[in-house]
Parts: sequence; C-alpha cells; structure tokens
Amino acid sequence: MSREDAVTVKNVVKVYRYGKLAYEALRGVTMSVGRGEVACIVGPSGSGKTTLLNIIGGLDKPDTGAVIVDGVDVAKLSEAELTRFRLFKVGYVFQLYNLIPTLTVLENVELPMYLAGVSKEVRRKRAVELLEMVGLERYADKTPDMLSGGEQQRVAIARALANNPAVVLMDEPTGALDTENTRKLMTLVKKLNRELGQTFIIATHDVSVARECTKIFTIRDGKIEGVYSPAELSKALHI
Amino acid sequence: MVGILAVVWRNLRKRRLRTALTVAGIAIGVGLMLSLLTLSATGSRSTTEVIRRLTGADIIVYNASRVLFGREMGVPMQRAQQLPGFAGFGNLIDLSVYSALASIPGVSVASPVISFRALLNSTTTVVVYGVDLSTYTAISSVEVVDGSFLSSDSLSQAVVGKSLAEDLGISVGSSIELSYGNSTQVFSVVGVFQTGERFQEYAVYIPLSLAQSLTGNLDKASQILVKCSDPNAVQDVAQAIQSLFPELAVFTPTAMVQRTQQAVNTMTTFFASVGGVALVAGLFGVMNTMAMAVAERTREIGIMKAVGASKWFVLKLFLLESTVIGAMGSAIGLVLGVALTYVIAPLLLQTGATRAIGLAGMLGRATTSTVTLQPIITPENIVLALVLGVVVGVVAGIYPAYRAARMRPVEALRYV
Repeated sequence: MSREDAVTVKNVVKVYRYGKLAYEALRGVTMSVGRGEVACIVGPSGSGKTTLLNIIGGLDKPDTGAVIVDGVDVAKLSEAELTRFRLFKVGYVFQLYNLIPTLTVLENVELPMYLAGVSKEVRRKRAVELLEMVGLERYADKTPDMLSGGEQQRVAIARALANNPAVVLMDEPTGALDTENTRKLMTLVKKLNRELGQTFIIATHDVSVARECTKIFTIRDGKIEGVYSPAELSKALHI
Repeated sequence: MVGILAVVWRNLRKRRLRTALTVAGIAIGVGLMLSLLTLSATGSRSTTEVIRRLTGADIIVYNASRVLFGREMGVPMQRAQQLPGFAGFGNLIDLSVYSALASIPGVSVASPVISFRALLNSTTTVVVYGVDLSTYTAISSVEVVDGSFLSSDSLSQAVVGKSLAEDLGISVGSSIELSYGNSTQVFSVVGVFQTGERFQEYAVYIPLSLAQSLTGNLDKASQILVKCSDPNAVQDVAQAIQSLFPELAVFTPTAMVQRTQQAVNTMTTFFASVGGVALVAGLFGVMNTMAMAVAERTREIGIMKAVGASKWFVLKLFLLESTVIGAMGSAIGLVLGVALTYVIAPLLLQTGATRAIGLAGMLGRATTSTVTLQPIITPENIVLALVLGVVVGVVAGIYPAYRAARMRPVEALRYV
C-alpha cells in the first residue's frame, strides 16, 4: 500500500446470508485508489459495485479483509467510530433522493457540518461557498423538490464535500440523469478534482462517466476483473 | 441549518392531518385527566369547606329521648324543631353531662348550646342560640361583619343576623327585646353576623347563662358541641360518648360529609379510568404515527446515517417529534380540560355539596352555607396534566425512535 493511496482494499470478502441461503457479494476484492484520482468501478448490476462502495464508505463491514481509507482500517472500527468515519472521511452521493426533503438546499449542505459541531456562522459561510462551487447558490433557500434531478445531484456533491472528506463515493450518480445532465455532473466532478485535488470513486455502468475517469476498475461476480487507464477504456468495457 | 426543533416542526407540519389527529388523541386524554383531577380536588375542598362551615364541631350530642325520628340524613328530627317553622323545646341535656363529656379522652373542647325560638321586639320570630363564650369560640367561628362577637358570659349582649338587622333597622348599639313564654329580657346589640343565607340570618346569639334564665332552663343545654383533639379519632370518641351515655343521641357531621366525599371519590375514580384509557389510546396513536413516520422516512434515515449522523442524533430527532406531539396535546388538552371541568363540575358536585348544605342548616349554629362550587384548577394539576401528556409523547416515541436509530444504513438506503 502506497502512502499516497486514499483507499486501499485488500482481499475483501462479503457474504450476505438470508436464512440458509448465502450470497457472495464480494469474493476477495483487492484494489487501490491514489489521492487525487477519479476512479470508477464499472460492472453489470449485481456485480458487487454498491457493496464495495458501501464497505469503503463504512456503511457496511467486510467479513474478511482490510479496507484502509486515509490511513484508517475501516474494518476494525466500532460502530461509533464508523459514524465519525462517515462524518469526516467520506462523502456520499447516491443515485436518487440524496437530500433531506424537509431541509432547504443550504441546510442540506450544512447538515454534515452541523453533525460535526461546526459553528453556525462558519458552516453557513462554507455551505454558501460550496453551493457557489457547484453553481447552485441561487437555490440556497429552496427545498430539494423544487430542483431538477441534475441540480439535486450537484447539491449532494456540495454536501459530500462539506467536511473535506478523503474521498467522495458516488453510487450510480448519473443513473437517473439524461445525457446533458450527466455531462454537466462529470464536468463538475473533474473541476472539483482539478481545483481541490478531491479524490472520487464512482460506481457506474455509464460509459460516458467511465470515459472521464483517471482509473477504471471492472468488476464482475464480486471480483475485480481488471484495472485500466482511460486509454484502455474500450478494452475494459469489452467494446 | 436551523435548530433540530425547527426540523421536527417542519416534519410535523408536513403531515398536518395526521399530526392533528394524533395530537387530538393526547388532548382528549389530558383534558379528561385534568378535569377529573380538578373535580376531585374541588370535591374534597368543598367537602372540607362544608365541614369547616358546619359548626366546627366534630360531634354533636342531643338528648335521645327527644329524638322522634332520625330519618333525614341521620339528623335527629327534634333538631329540626328548632329551625324556623318549628317551635318548642323537648327534653334538654343536664349540664352534668357536659362536665363528664369534657373529661372523656380525645375530647378537646365541649361546648353547651341552648337554642330555641323567641319573639324579637314582640314582632318577629327568631332562632336564639345561647352560647358559652369561651368554649363556643374554641369550636366555632361566627363571621361578624359589624361590631364584635359577644364579649362576656354575663352581660346582656346580642349578635344579630345581617338580614334580620337590615329588615328591622337594628344596628350595633341598638337595644332589642327577646321574649320566650312569659319572660322578656332586653339585650344590647354588639355585633352583626352574616352567613350568606337569609333564613339563617334570622337568628340571634346571646350568652348561655342569659338564655338559660330567659327560658327557665338553668344548668341545661339543648345540645353539646364536641371538638376532638385528633380529627381522625372522631368515630372512636363518638362511640365512647355513646357507650357512656346510651340515652343521648351522638351525631358526627363529619361522617356525613365523609360519605359524600366517598361518593365524589367513586365518581372521580370512574373518570380517572376513562381518562387513563383515553391517554393509553392516545399513546398508541402517537406510537402508530411515529412508526409510520419512521417507515416513511427510512430513506432519509439512511441518508442521514451515511452522511455521519449518530444513532443518538436519529433517536433524538424522532423522540423530539413525539415529545412535541405530546406537548401540543397537553396544551390543547389543558384548554379542553378547563372547559370540560366547568361543564361537568356543577353536575358532579351539586349532589354532594347541596346535601351538605342542607345538613348545615340543621345544626346548632347559624352557618355559612354557601359552599363554593367553583372548580379550582390548581397549578399542580395543570403541571401534572402537562407532564402527563409530555410523558405519554416521550414514552410513545421511545420504541419507534429506537428502531429508527438502530436501523442499518445499508438497509435503510435500499428503501426508496
């Protein structure tokens, strides 16, 4: 594991059990993502993308293996430590319904800072800056339902950045977006990556998303098939 | 980010009808509880009031040979003969009984009273109470509105009722003439008393000795008022008196009032059960509402946890929501309870209190019979009712909030 790695995953196995049935979601995944990379995990549905992302993000625990995020082995954290880990080390963006409907756009961005105990003045100022960064400051006092899907995803990104996480994890962030909004979202991701050096890991099966990444992992049946550079993309995607 | 309470409020407002219905459930419970607490307090207060205003005596002793029939609430009928509309004396109690009574253990004070009907200024029939000043004032108090009460056991002083004084133009300093049979005596009016009941104010207090000489009943009394040193030992003392003097009628006004109190208590208990059931129903209502809220907001809980919200934060969020429901229910229930109290109170209390008032009129004294039926909503009861509603809110919220708090984020996020 390199000191420069934001995320290192080693031999991670995750088995889901439903009564007598066992489903191996991850069968020994090993991968690493360097700081400042925009990595993506590409694979068909059911391949284990979301499970892998959830384990990296401290939402789920691996059965065996190690997950080191920003120097911390997530697999060894207690539940309370995991809560703090999620608060400070990672930012999350999901496919849909990322925002709390009863909070305004600004409040949604403030939420992680509120939970972290940041003072009102500081967090408000930063939330406005983050909204400016994603180009939605004019919607600060609107509720999420007044925003388009693409706009909501950008607010979710602003929120993910609130506590300066080591990595932002995005699970099918463009799954519900049209081509134009997908393009806008990826432009934003690249801009944030360039300007802030922010690391991203994106689970997707959208080629246009994968094309914009610096490192592409393919996953199938709970195993990493290969790691590719953008240039190797067509090979990676078997096209 | 606004305060957590503002968020709670927004969530409640978002589901306005459901919130309103749930709040109504609590409000009904709290309202019923408050009104019954108030009624119970009012009931016992008015009962106490009645006791206090009766005679101050715990026990009243009569000559049983005069008792014709003790039908009416256990009051010896011969007492009624001394009320307006009746005339004459029956047999009296010898004052030797009085000395014996005073030495019975548990008796704090005994006071002989002689009461009879007399003619005032040859025109008006009044009830005259001859009282032994020192012992009478130790047991009973007369509300003197002008002048003062009797100051001597031997001076020809009189205290007259307010209605009587007004009707006949008598005032402090006036002289009045009291006639009984063939004897007549002049008294100077030293005070005016009031009871609030006109018929009771057609009465005159004079010293016992003068009443005895006026009626020719030296060393006699028509009744003896007894005050016990321990209010809880009244029945024991009454039994002791009865066994010592089997020929006397021993009457305990407090026992009568206690029976009334029991009736009030029974009704209170009934209302308490109704209120309790309503509150429990309200509690289930809140639980149901909160369980629905948690289920509906599963996704939201998942997001919050993914973003870094602790178990405690999620618990707090939902628990506060049910607490606010409870608090709103309490506030509305408070208003409801007050309204309910004023509607039910007269119905519930009339029976008990008016019986006691009727009783008061028959005892050896002109008493104040106007017993306040006004319900008293005490700050304690208000606080209790409010606390009850909030507690129900909290208790009802615990389980749903706990479920929300322990929800696993991965599973919560799967819910869309």
